[in-house]
Amino acid sequence: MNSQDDLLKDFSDVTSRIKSEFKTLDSVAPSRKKVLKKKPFVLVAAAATIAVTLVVSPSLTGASDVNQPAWAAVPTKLTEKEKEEIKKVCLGNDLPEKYEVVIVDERSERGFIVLKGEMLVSDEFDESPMPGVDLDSKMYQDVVCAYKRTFSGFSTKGVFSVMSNVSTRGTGWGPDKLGKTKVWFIHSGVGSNVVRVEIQTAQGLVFDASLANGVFFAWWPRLEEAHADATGKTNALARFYDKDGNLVKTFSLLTGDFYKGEKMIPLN
Amino acid sequence: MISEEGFEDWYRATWPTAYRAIRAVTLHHSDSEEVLSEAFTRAFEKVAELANHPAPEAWVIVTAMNIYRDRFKKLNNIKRFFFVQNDSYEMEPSSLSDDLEKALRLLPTRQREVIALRVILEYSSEETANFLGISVPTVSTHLRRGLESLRNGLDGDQS
Repeated sequence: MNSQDDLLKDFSDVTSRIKSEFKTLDSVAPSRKKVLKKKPFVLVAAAATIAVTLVVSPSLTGASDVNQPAWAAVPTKLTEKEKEEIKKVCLGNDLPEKYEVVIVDERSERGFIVLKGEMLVSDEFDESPMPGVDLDSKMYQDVVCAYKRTFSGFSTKGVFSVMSNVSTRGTGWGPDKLGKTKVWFIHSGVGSNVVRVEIQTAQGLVFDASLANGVFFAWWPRLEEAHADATGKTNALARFYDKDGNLVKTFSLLTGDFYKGEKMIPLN
Repeated sequence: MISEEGFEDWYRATWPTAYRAIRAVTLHHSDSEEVLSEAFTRAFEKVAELANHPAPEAWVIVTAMNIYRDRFKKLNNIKRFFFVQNDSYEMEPSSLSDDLEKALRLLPTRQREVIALRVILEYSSEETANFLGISVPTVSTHLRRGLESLRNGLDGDQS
């Protein structure tokens, strides 16, 4: 037995898993007509690159039955006073001390506040944004409020990352009466060495996430299934930069994934 | 031995196995079908030469791997990301477990190629080295590193 056979034997747990799973992958040979047809690989990629260069149009309107909020790559610059007002409006006077507002992110017609504290659970939303099963990875959306724009809130505890889509009802909320909207969002804790987090989405948006208090948060309009796979998932890249502009880490994120802190956070 | 007349049957018979191997490299259904389609097209164009080839199935698989490598090495990760995304909403006929796919995705392409040939298709170390144009010790290195990474990745997800 040569050394490679020994190696395969040593890793029989892994190889048997690979073999058994790949045996289940079925694909029937396409008709010869399709075989001879070549898709424009590079053109598709080039078109996507242009989309990156253009970054974002002022308004992204998906061709769907769901209204999409206008969205901007650069969030509205809010003063501390405005943030305080948003906090009061969204959480009311009975804001429990246990909830800390860590991020307020407003982009054009919609804003989000990220809370840190106990879980908030609500039936205010059409679908649960929670794909993860890890208790420390759960994030619930609860607060919907109107402060110039419509804000949705997320609460969280612990250090985690989770990306999902969320469908908000929101009808009648806010001055714009945005109606039902769907967005993708990503949220995670980061190391103190990270000063900038850049997000690149499947639909060609490149923008900076909001980053504060050791947490980053980003959201963008969900243009329905055009940027999701057959299971409704979508991808995004998160790039983490330090104060010198060095790329600390790049993370590829798939909807529904959750990463425990040690895997996600670029450490000091 | 393949021939122009028998190409269709050979193509249909070879496709499923070749697909599994290429899927292990691209980790994407549409990419796999695309590069494999082109590899079979080239095989059809070279059917006379392949008639005496000792392993035409391996030729198609390695050609598909090379097509994938050639195409994507010209693209940086961003472009690759978008390429995958723009095609990713096509229906997947079947898929791998999330943890296995994630673990495979973290491997360098060459390690996935070696695993596809050595583990999935069960070619010998010498055959694998010959197909990929590398030495047997290099195959061993890629195989060991790949399997170690996979074991760590799968263990990590199970914890």
